[in-house]
Amino acid sequence: MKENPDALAVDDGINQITYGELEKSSNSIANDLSLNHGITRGSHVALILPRTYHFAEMVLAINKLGAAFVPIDLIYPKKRMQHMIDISESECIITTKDLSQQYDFGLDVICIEDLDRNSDVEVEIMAKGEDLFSIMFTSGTTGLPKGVMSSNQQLGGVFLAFENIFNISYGDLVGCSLSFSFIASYLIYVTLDLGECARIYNENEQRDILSLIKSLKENHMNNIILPPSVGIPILENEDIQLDYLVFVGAKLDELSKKEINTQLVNFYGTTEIIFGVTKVYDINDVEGNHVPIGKPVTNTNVYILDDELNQMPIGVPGEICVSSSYISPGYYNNPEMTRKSFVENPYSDSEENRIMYRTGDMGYYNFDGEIEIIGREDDQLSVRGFRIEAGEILSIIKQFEEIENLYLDVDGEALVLYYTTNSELDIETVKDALIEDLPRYMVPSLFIEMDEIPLNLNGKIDKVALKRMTKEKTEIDINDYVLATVIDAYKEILNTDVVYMDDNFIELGGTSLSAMKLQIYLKEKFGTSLSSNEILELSTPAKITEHIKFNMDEDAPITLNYSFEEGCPISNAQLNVYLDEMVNDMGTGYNNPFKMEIDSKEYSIENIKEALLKLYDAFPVLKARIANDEDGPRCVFDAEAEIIEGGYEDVKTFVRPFDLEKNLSRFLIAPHEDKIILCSDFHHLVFDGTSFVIVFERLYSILNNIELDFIDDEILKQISFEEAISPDYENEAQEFFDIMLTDSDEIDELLPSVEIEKTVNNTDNESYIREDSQAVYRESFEIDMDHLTSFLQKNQITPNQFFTSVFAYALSRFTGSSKVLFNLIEDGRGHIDLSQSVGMYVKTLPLVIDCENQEVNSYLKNSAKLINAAMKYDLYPFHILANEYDLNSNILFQYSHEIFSTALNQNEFGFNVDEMNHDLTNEFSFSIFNLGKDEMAIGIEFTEKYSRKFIEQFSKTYKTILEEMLKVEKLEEINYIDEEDIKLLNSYNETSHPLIHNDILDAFNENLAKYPDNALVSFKERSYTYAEGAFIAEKIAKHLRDLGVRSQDYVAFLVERSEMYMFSTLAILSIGAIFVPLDDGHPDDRIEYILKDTQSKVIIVSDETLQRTKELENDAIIVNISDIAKENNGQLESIPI
Amino acid sequence: MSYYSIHDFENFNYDSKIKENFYIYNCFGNALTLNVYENHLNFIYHADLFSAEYMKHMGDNLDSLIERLLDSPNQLLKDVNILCESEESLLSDYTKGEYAEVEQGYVFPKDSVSM
Repeated sequence: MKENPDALAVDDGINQITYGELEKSSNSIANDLSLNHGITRGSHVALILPRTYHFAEMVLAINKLGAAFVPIDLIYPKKRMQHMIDISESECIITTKDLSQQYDFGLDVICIEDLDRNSDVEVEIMAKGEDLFSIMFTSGTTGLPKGVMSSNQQLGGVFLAFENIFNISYGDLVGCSLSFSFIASYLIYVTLDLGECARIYNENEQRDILSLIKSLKENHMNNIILPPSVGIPILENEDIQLDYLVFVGAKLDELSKKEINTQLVNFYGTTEIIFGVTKVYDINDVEGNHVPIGKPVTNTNVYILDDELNQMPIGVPGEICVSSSYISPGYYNNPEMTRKSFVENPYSDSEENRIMYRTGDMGYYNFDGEIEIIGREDDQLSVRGFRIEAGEILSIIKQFEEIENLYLDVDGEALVLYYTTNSELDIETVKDALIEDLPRYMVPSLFIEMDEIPLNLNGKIDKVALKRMTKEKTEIDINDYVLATVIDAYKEILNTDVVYMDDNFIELGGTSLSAMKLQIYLKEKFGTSLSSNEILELSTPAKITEHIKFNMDEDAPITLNYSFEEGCPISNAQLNVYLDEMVNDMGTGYNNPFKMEIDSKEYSIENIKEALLKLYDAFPVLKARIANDEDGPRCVFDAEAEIIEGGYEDVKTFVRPFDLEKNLSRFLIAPHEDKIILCSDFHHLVFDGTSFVIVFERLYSILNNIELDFIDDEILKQISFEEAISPDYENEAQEFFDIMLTDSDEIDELLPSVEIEKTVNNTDNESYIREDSQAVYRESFEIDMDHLTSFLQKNQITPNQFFTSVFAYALSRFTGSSKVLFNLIEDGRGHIDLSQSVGMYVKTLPLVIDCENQEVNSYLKNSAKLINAAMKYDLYPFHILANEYDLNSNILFQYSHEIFSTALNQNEFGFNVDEMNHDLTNEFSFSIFNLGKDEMAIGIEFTEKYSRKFIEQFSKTYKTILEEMLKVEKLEEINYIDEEDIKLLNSYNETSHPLIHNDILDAFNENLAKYPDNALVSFKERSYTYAEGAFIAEKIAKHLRDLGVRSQDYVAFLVERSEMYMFSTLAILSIGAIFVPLDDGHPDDRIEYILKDTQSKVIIVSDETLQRTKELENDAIIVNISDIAKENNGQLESIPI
Repeated sequence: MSYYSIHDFENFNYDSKIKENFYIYNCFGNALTLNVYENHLNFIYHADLFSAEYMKHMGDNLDSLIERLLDSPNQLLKDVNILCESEESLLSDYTKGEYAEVEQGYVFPKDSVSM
């Protein structure tokens, strides 16, 4: 800064100040403070300042006088401020005029506006190395924060260590966004010490991430400390120049693969040691979220110790203990705490590391010599990077006598308080008291009342039991009569006092005999028959409760909460579709269009129109449209029936997207020759595969005057039913999917297989190609249904489970991984009777199936169990799962039982029905269905991501696996590659090929002899024949021979990309020497190294590269072949080589 | 209460040896088994759970622990060093940051005195 007084020192987003100005104003202020306010060496001054450059002025001025500053954050409650001022024995407060109105701490208050900042005075530096620089507060166990001292001398060591980590230079910009009262604010002092510019983010910028991004975009920053959750997304999404992103002992979220030039720096430190461990990462090398905190920094020793201060073996966790030359002298006015944390270092080897600080953090050395951190040993908690002493929070809460017991814990990012009370207590009053005394981050975000805080045998809090009890706490609806009864039954029959809802019947001592007793008990209470086998299988009170409830629900009438007049909310399944429509351009992806040809002799247009109107009456759901109000999307049932009378030409344009707010179904009646074409289209929001059959059966009845007075209101029942589902169901579903979908992001997807030849264009005949981007493949095949049925019975699995398992295995063969992830489409009509209802009930269920080699029957059994469980939880909203697990699998599987396909194919209605073309919603959707007695069909809808060849191959493999699975015992015995493919594969490996020439010279000579006048090489304008080339090469070779080059000698050549390159190669080869090509692009030391390494005697150069090798004259003989080539006016006398 | 574990004595693979009568094997059965025979020891560990390097260290630790306990049976447990020699030298390396001379009597900021 001496050299460069005009360089910027601080930029606070509004004002900027240079080193020169800073020096002048801090001198002037120091002078004023000393003369008029009595600040001298050893004084302590509290700074309550907003985030402006004045803060830096004050720090410098105070330090020049040999005084120490106590930074106090504006956001602290007054009580805490008072405490900090008292403990630190501050003599006065420096603040602003505005702020001074608010504070009355009984001390001298100096407003920065009143200080003299403009006098040109020299100030004698009073501070000595051992003088305190600052007292910073850290959360304390006793309920009061502790003042951590730091001295000037300490800072010198810190800056040195800092310089050794970062590549920094004068004028670099450093972002300072953290509170002045946190240790991370030392970055400002480092910055000033190193002559960089501190970019202090002011309060507005701290709050507003957009202005942070703006400033990062505008400036090239050397480094900034940010939480990874803020910094990483900015790096990934914004185009910024930042050399280092520093974060503090934090974990990382998944990084994108974007090339980023920023390095990540993981810092580990506490106020007591400032910083002790660090690691610099190349952001592109970080694997997952594994980021060890690294190695000890300069002049620091870091040990992993047990309670007795013995070193722990590598890989074994212990307390992280740090000793360094810049460790704090201790806590101000708190010798007791100082003695406890700052201890003699048993491994000391010099005065500098005599004292060691016990951090209370747990960690271990990995085998790379880096420390990995795992948590804390004492009562300090770390929430979102803040260190918090539980004691400080607890001492406030303990003032409430109603609270008997309490325990504070961190759950993820949240601070949670568990407590028990002995009388009525409004927990809000406790919360208010905390808010009054503590910074916001120290106030628990969750307060959970418990009946007791569980202790383990050692008298410590039993965290596992606590978790379990909390879970119960949050899950048990106290009014849940069924669960309470089941738990009572367990207690009585198993003769035990404590039974939790997730306890296992057998683990509690249950036997088949007690299961029978339970069976009788439950039957008496609920009238449900639950077999003792079922009890053993369900095992937990929670599951049995659920089972009982489901069975009760089936019988119990469902109360209808909605009517068609008022409309109803949409179901979760509908919501998936709705969200998809809103977010993505689905085109006609969710349309369900059909085309029917009706004999005009049988029915008239009028008949059909009338029947359609009756159809609307029978299925009010067809009149549905989506209405959006403040509660989100709802179904209302007042849409106009859209029945279009048109001509045959209208059929082509019939399928088009619905305006969801207008209607969700439409019909077209068009006469054509002796037929009437009836087109119908239903949006998936109110329609699924099963609905199709129901609608058309009904239409058939109406047309044939078979009167049915059934009006379908099941959709309202289903919604009411879904709303009545207990939270237990959701929690269990959540748990189930959690377990199944763990690591689902690591499962390989199907690789795309792009079609090489252009897809056949759409034609008018019944081709299965619809459009370039998507296609449908259909294939039917024969199967021995009796054999299959007996196989399924023997294995006790359903056809759906079987065909799904076959699909999973086929998929695993194609993805090459043992686990597969895909979505099962299930009809979703299993909860209440929906057999005659039109609506959207199908559910999408993500499945992860493990296809690791095993016995076929155990594979089938396992996957059947899994599919069953998934179907049980099919009411759990798919969009939540998709979000949570980022399920991007676009693979669908569906097994349809006869209904749909029969209707399509068997003319049951006396008229032809065809599915019409519409957009696809998924990349790969596989369905298999029965066509008749011994016939099945596979249908695959696929987008351009897959080639038709691939799809055919997949279908073929599916059939093969299906057949094999009925025969073999183990999965690995399944041979899914057919013989043709094996032949093909073998042919790919036939690569043997006879050699025509022994070597390249041989080949050259043969060509030279046969075609001397053919062109050998041409470069730019000039072309050389074989004869000319041989002539030049021979001249070079002669030259080399004259220089003593012999067979097996190394000859280097550094020649630009030209004909010279070929001539040198030929010349060297013709002597039998070994050529060492050098690249003009290599740096000098690399070229030198190669020369030395190969001991090349000669280096061939051209005019162009001569300059490069001048320096190498001592190492090798330099031969410029440009001269030789220029003499090329001689004739080829003989074949020289 | 005592626990017994039975493992498949055929399905494990030789990994490394600590000394002539102390071998380490990996397998995919139990997490960790120490078999003590009359004249030799072996460690069998689950290869998905522990790395070979980790197990080698654990073997060395166990070996030196046994020797130290036999050498001085009257020692307090808390005073028994569990580290083996090779590990001690590794750790003395790991625990030390680089050394650099720090300016004595430093006062912040670096250049202010001469300004």
